[in-house]
Amino acid sequence: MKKDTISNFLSHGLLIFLAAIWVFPIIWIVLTSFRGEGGMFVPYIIPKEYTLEHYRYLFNGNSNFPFVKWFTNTFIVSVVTCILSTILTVSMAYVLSRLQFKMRKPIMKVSLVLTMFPAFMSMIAVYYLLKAVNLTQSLFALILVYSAGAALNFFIAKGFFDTIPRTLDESAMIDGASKAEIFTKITLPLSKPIIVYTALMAFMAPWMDFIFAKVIMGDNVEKYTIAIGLFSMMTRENADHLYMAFTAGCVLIAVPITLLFIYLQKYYVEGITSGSVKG
Amino acid sequence: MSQIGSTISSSLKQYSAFFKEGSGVRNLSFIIMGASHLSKGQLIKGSLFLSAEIGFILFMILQGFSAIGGLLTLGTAQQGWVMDEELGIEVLAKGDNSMLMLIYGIVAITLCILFICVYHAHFKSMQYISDLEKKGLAIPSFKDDVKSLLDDKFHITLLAIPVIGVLVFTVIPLIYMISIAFTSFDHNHLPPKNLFDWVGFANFSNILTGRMAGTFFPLLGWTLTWAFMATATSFIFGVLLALLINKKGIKGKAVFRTLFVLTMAVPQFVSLLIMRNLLHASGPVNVFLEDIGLISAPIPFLTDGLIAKLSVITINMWIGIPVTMLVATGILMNLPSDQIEAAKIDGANGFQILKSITFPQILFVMTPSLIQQFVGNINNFNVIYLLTEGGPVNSNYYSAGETDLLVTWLYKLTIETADYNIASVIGIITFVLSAVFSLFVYTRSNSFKKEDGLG
Amino acid sequence: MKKKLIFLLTVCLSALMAMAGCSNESSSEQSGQPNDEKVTLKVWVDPDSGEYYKTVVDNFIKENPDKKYEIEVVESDTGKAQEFVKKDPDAAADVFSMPHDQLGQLVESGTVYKNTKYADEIKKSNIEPAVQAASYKGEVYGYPYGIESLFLYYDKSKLTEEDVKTFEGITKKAKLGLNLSEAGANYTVVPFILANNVKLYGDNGEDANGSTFNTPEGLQAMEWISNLKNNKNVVHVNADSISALESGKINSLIGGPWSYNQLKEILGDNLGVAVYPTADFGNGPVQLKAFLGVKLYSVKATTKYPLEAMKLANYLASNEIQEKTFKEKGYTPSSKEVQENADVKANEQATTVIQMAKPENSVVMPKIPEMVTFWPPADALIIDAYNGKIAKENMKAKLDQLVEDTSGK
Repeated sequence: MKKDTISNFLSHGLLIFLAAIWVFPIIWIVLTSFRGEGGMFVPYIIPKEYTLEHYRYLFNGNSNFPFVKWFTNTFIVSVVTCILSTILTVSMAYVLSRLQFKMRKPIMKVSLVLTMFPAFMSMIAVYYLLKAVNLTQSLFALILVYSAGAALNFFIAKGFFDTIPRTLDESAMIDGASKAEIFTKITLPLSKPIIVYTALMAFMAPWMDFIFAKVIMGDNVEKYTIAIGLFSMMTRENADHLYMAFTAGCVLIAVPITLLFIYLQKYYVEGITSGSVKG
Repeated sequence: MSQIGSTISSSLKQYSAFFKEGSGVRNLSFIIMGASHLSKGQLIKGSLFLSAEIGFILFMILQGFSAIGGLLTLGTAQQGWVMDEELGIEVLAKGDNSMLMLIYGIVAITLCILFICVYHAHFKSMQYISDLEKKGLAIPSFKDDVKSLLDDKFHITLLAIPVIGVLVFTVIPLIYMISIAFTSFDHNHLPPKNLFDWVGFANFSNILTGRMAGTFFPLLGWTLTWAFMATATSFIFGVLLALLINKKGIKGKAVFRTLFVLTMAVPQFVSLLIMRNLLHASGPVNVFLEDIGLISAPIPFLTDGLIAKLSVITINMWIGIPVTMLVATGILMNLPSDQIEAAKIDGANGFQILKSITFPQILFVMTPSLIQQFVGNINNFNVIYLLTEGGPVNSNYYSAGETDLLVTWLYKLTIETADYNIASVIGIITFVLSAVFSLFVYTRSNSFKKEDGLG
Repeated sequence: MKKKLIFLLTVCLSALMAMAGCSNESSSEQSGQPNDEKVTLKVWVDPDSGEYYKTVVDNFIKENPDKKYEIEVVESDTGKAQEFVKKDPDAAADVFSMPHDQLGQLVESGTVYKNTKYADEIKKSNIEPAVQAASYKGEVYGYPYGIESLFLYYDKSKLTEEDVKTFEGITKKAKLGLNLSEAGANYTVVPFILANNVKLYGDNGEDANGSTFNTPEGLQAMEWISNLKNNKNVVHVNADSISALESGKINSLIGGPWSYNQLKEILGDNLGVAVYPTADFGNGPVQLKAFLGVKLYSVKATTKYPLEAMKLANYLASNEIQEKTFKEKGYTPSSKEVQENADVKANEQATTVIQMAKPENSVVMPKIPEMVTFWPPADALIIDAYNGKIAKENMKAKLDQLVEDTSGK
């Protein structure tokens, strides 16, 4: 009993220590966004003056940095991308985990290999393919590109499907269910955790990508997502005086995603505990 | 290669046998696709085949042949300036754009290959119908076909859209990229003004033997070391963290998970820039350490070759551990507990259970994602580029620094020096190496083998 | 088995067909010359100057009522102009601002219009280095409208005007911050080497085989750089330069006009600015040099309205606008006439940049496309030399290698 208490105490201590390390840089970002003095580089953590000026700057509708517009753009793109990518990733993972057909192994190997070429080298080709159908500088193009590649990220989801016992499928098949029914009525309800995980990852990508989106959007500031928008603040002329606004923007990105994480965590754990059939 | 050849020759034999056997409308279908289906009342299917053929022929006449021709020459007319008397200045006379010709040529070839597949599917479909007829069975209606897509052919339904997406946005660009390696597309041949041309394997020999080799091999070594270290550290510590958080008796599991996962909510281009300032020679970390008297001179976290390498691996743990923690948590909760119970009854201690039961089980489920992470780390552009931009520089390398991965080097070669062909060659070599490696590991991994048994 | 493949294939087929179909349309587009139509132009200007340029462009439209102009002003990271223009010339602005050193690449990729109409005007009104910067292989391309150069900032309470005339004078009494050990060192330090009678791509920066780093003078300058490590009063700074000055870690630094306001805030009346000092590489004092950068407007080659775009570019670079831009945005003018303006003369950073622009104080940054191959190895060499990673006897070989790697083939 006593041994348990000590180890419990130590574990909590260790966790708090680690969490502090992990959170520390983020706290610095938050503090920087309220910092009233200095520029990009300061050798200390705690600001000397606090201000809300940088947040105000973002919301004041500066025509070159239409932050609210960027936020909306990103939100639209990420919601649609999230839905499409999740469907694609989960379908692909399910097929490769559960269904038997001739091309299964080759498709799996090819998909594994396809992700290995540095993607940015193909950006220019993707750009011209989009241009050929007149889709550059549109949010739709971004959605298309983000979702199209999603299927290749099926490995984690496939690993999850592999852990769901096959006996479930077999008994359903004996009851006369079609494969589509097995997928939608049996496997999917058991897969909440992985669906949540996949959806979350897909939802986050548009908030983080600052290279590919820039290639597609070019100079159309109105169509920027928040990541390229913020990154475009960091030019030589602007970097120093907009640095705090830049971190403020970053805090504003992190807030919805964090809330989503906290909110989904409930489902996540719930899904795992209620859904899995333990041996 | 020979396998493909024999497949083709056997298909051709089937074609001729089928042709000899049949007559009339059915053989007309070899030229006019769908004719046979239409004649047998499969109207929707027949017209789909027919429209595919008409569409393809139209495309080839209007664009396809010239696009394929362009792919062969990569352009002949060079851009120039012509005097426009009316305007009083020279105006641009557009020439061929080699890069666009390459891309559209590849699209055209892809379409041709797809058409051959359609044609073959059409043939198979005819064969299937004639088999049914011979056996005196009913020809399936369009509704039956759709139904089978939800059952026997369910994999086709699920795969259709992902495959199209990957084909258009990954495979075609990939072929384009690979093709560049065989051209003279470098800073001296920039379109649209200049044309570039096919040069065969010249770029490959330049890299493997020339000055580039002195940069390529050290960078390859570091890239592999980095990828291994980054993946391994994130995995091991991520799993340990997950175990710690999920330990019985830990309060506030959700809070801790959220705290760690926060790092995933902050875009890397911000958090890494912050890290960079944090670790700067006169940044807060060094100032703090100096103030408390631990060090007398700043630690060159990101500016000394070896220390920078250690730093990027460590900082990557900050990013990687929460990811693994999250996945491992999911797996841990799904793991069957009977084995652990049994081991406990047998008197195994916590470490033994961890080593012999929990870890292998997690590893089994995570092998594919580990391979993906490994490859992701080989191509981990963000961490390196945002933290060190490849630096500190090394004058023994060509356009590269100590912490440059092959992928950041490629980026420099394309964006900064515009040597696309060289970059592409390096890309291909990296690609082949990592593909061979991961296929090797993957096909030997437990999850793949075990699955075979089930298959 | 594969029967059902047809559905996905037909979908795919038609999608791709549409794609290829449209591609041809866009490439066969004619660059017509409509007369009474609206003239739509797009301008890329520097970050943080969009509001100002909108008023300038409005003026331009007012002054040219003969045509119906519709001009869009977009802020763009003009430091990457060549990357953006080359990526897709069709989508690029008709008139764009750029640093002059990208001109070579843009000309070589055929994406920029020759300035035939206003060449004489530009040659007449701008200082010689700016004209050189706007030209490539004997032809004028750009429309210069501003000059940029690094110069010396110092703390007047620590250093006198006399002290800052020589490198030795500065470092005897106070600490000088320089980027010697991180990416970007090339930008400051390469011109130091050039000061010691070394050439980078020949006299006018256009000769691919004209670099002379491997001469005795080059070697001497590199040795001088290696020895800076032993000088306690030369401190390596980079992103932290301003905060280092604030904390007193350094008392002088080399920086650009963009740091002026921040430094003024810190040092107030004690902020001094000066042209580069002289330095002794071993053969007596030599005037140190900086790279001179010239801000240009350029017209893209594929513009639909070349005459109007050129007119606009020329207007943006005209004396009248240069004067206005100086007042509003603080860009140091490149026009001889505007440089004589009383307001400009009264501004210490502008006069310093104008002084720095003189050939004895600076080198026009080469604009030859090979420059892109020069920057990274130059950085590597300087940093390794400073950090003592290159043995004295290997220096010559390293310099030979640098010249070989960065020369035209």
